[in-house]
Amino acid sequence: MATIALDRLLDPDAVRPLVDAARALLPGSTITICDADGAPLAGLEASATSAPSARRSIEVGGGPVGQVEVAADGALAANLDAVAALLASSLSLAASEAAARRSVTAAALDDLRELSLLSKLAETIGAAVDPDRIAGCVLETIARPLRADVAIVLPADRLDGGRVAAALGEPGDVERLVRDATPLLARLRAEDPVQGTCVDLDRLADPDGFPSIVAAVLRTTEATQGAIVLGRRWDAPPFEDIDRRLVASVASETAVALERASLQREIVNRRRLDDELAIGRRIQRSLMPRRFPSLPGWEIAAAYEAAREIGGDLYDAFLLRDQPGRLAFLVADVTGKGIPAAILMADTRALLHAAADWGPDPAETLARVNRILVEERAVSLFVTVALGLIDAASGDVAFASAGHDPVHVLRVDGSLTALEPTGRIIGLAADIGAHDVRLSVGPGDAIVAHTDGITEARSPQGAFYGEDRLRALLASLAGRPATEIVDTVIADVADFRAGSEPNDDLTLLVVRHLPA
Amino acid sequence: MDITTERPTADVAVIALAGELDGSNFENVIEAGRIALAAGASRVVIDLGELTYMGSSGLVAIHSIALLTRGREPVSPENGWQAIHDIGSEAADAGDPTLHLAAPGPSVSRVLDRSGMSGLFPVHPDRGTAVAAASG
Repeated sequence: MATIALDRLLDPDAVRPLVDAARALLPGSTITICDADGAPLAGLEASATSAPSARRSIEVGGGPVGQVEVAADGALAANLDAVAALLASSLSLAASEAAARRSVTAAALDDLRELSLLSKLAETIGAAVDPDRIAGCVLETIARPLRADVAIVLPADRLDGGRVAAALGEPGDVERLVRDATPLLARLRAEDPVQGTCVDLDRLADPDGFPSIVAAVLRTTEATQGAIVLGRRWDAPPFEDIDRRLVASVASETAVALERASLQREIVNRRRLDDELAIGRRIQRSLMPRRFPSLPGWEIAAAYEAAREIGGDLYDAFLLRDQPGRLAFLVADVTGKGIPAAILMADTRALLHAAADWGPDPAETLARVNRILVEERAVSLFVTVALGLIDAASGDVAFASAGHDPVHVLRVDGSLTALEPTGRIIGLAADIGAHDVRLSVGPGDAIVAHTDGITEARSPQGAFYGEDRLRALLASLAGRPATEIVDTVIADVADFRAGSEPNDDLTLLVVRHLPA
Repeated sequence: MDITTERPTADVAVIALAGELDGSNFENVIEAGRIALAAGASRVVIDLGELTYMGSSGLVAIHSIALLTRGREPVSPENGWQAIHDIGSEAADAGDPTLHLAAPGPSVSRVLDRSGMSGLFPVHPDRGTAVAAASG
């Protein structure tokens, strides 16, 4: 603790009565009162004497702050010690009381300073949203009251230097402060990984460096938001405890402001993403058939469930133009999400409709669509498509699949055939290399097409629903109506998921040849 | 999903994936490929041995790294459209493929086979064979 000058603690007017009282005890004595450096107190100087003397120190809090010297001649000299001790202890008491009063006042002033700084800070950064702007406001508010020559705020991802969020001071000084602060911040974070902390440094040996630095990591309970560092040059006094305390308060307020700003940004981004997903969803919904065409001897049922985040399923069933009694069905899954996936899906659907009208071969239809998408649209998204063309009267089906999950043919006798992909996923290569599969779907048989949202549905424990479970369930539904097959599978998948959110779109399409 | 990158030879980087590769993390795989190539590798082996699941996003990741090994920049679907049509013929024509796949398990193999991707890039039974083939 720094020594407080005695003359600032003791008012001569208050001291004089004590001195007079002491002199009354020792008439004719010489009394001198000096501060810690031996300089006599103004107004209490005494002339030098060669008489015997006694000295006692004046103490505050156990430390000497001055001295009493009492000198006297003759018979009275026997009482010198006692009088000096009495006077010294009286003065010590007075000085201690003054020191206590003084430190209370100083603390009150410090509190006031902190309050005014914080309220000014709250006012300036209250409305700011941009983190760099918040950092700039903070520095402008605190640099002068804290008598900092240089001040910087480092963003959370640049605590090892690199970029400053805001800086005040000469460019060279700023650069040097960043360099000096880096090891200090690393130590602060290592020492106390939880609390926002400040330290001040002693004067450094390096004359190029900053002799006095106060640094604080800006931390909330949630995360580190950055760091604030102030520096003083050689010609300024080093930072003291009060500065450290002020910076700590400023740091916690700044950290909260930065966290609020980053939350706000997150909400804005989140909303933008949600908007985009919602628009993508609307496009996607608009592509789904509202009702299926009626085809004598056949029935169609479907279910579709959208996942919140990803998914780009599409299904459709439509009569081919100028080809009476012929129906196309398709199930597709676009990789990706949002508007790009929805646009690709709209493209794919329109192209499939047009291409299917044009020719009788699904493989050729898929190849044409792939060529157009790859060469002209140049997509970097992929689409799996399973496409079948049904001749209603004969039950003959031509089928091709560009990388799509197996489509099942559920026979009326309970046997199950899996139609595996016959070509590559659309968008991957100029040539999907697809071929057609031809089969006959008799009365009572059903074609069941799904997307991977079914087989990759997950239980709360993380297990996949899987193809085996789907096949076993389908086998038990042989000969059942299309809507019953759809409802049973969807209900079983929901049971399996046991309330957990679907993580991908889920589509099931059943086209069934009615029993004769 | 964990991603580990190794550099067994000056030319070859091995990107080993463990866990589940899906829409939430496929971009990290592309980033790992970008970093490996920026560090000077010219061939990439993707070790799929520890993958327990690969969704269709995995195809985008593999395809994007293949483009990167050819010095082409895959553009995120979020950012726009991009030509990819010649990758297939390039892969088929090139006697010296720049991207190799290693050690896919049954479920990952199924995704590669169904999409037709296993016909476009060499698929090796284990990492050692893949690195040897990539070192050519």
